[in-house]
Amino acid sequence: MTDKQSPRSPDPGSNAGWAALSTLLSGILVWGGLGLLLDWWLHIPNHLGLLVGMIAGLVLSVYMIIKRFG
Amino acid sequence: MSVQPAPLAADFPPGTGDFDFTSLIPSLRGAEAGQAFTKISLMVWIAIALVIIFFLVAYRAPKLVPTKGQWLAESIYGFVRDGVAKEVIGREGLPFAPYLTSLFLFILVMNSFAIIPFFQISPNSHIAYPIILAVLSYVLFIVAGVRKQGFVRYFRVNLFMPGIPWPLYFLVTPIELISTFIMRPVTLAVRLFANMFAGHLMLLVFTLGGVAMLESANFFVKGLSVASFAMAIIMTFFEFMVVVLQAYVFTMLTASYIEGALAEQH
Repeated sequence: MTDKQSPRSPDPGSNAGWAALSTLLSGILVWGGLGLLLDWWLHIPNHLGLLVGMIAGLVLSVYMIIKRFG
Repeated sequence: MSVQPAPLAADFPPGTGDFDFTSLIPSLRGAEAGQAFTKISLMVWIAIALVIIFFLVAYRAPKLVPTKGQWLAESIYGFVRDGVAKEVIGREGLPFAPYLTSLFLFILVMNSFAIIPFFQISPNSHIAYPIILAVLSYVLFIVAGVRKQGFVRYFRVNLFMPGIPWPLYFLVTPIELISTFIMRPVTLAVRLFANMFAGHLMLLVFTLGGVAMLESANFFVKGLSVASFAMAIIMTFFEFMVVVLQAYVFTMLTASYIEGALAEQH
C-alpha cells in the first residue's frame, strides 16, 4: 500500500500504521474465531482451538505485515 | 440532553434513556414517526445547511482577489486538496477532492455541536451517523477500485498478496478479506462514534459532578466542585482538539483507502 509513496509525502507512517494494526487485529479475529467455532463443533476442552487459532492468526498477520512493509 | 449548570434534572443520575430524544413535533411525541425530527436530526439538518450555504455564498461571485468568505472556503478546499487528496492519493486524487472536502467540513460541523452551548452533543455520538458516513466511504473506495482496475483484477489484487507461496493463500486470504472489507468500515465508524460519545460523557461527568458537589451539604465537597468545573472547562478545550482531529482522521483514512483501491498493487 505504501511502496509507491515517494519522498515527497512526509506522512507514509500513519497509513502504514493503520493498515498494520488492522491486519494484526483481523488475523487474530479470523483464526481465533475459526478456532472458537472448532471448539464448539468438536467440544475441544479448555478453548484450545481458540488459543491455537489466535496464536496462528497473530503469526500469520505478522508474516503478512513483514511481507508488505518489511 | 443539554448540560447546564442549572438545577439538577429530575432524573439525576443520567442514564441511557437520555439518549432517546423526544420528538420536536409535539403532536408526534411518543409516536414512531416522531423520531424523524428530534434534536439530533435538527442538528444534522443545520450542519448540512451550513456546509451548503457556506460554499454557495463563498463561491457565488468568485473574485480574483478573494473576499473573506471566499478566502476561507478556498483555504479549506486547498488544504484538503493538497494536504489530503494530492498527498495521499497522488494526482489521481484530484477528482476526489470535492467529496473529501465536503466530508471533512460536514464531520467538523457535526462534531463541533459537542461543544457549542445549548447543543452540547454531537450527532456523531449516535452510531447511526458514523455508520452512514463509513458506508459512503466504503462504497466509494470499492467503486473507485473496480472502475479503475475492473472487477476481477481489483479483488485479486486486494485479496491475494503477491510474493508469497500459493499454499499460504488459504491462510492469508481470509485475513485480507476481513481486514479490507469488514474491519475498515467498522473501525472507521466506531472510531468517530466512540470519540464523540466518550467526549460527551467526559464533559457530562465533570459538569454534572460539579453541580452535584455544589449541592452537597458538606462545605469541603462544595469547595471541591470548583475543581470539577475547572476540569469541565479544560476538557472542553481538549474536546475541541478531538473534534478537529477526528474529522481530519476520517478524511485522511478515506483518502488512504481510495489510494489503496487505486494502487496497481500493494
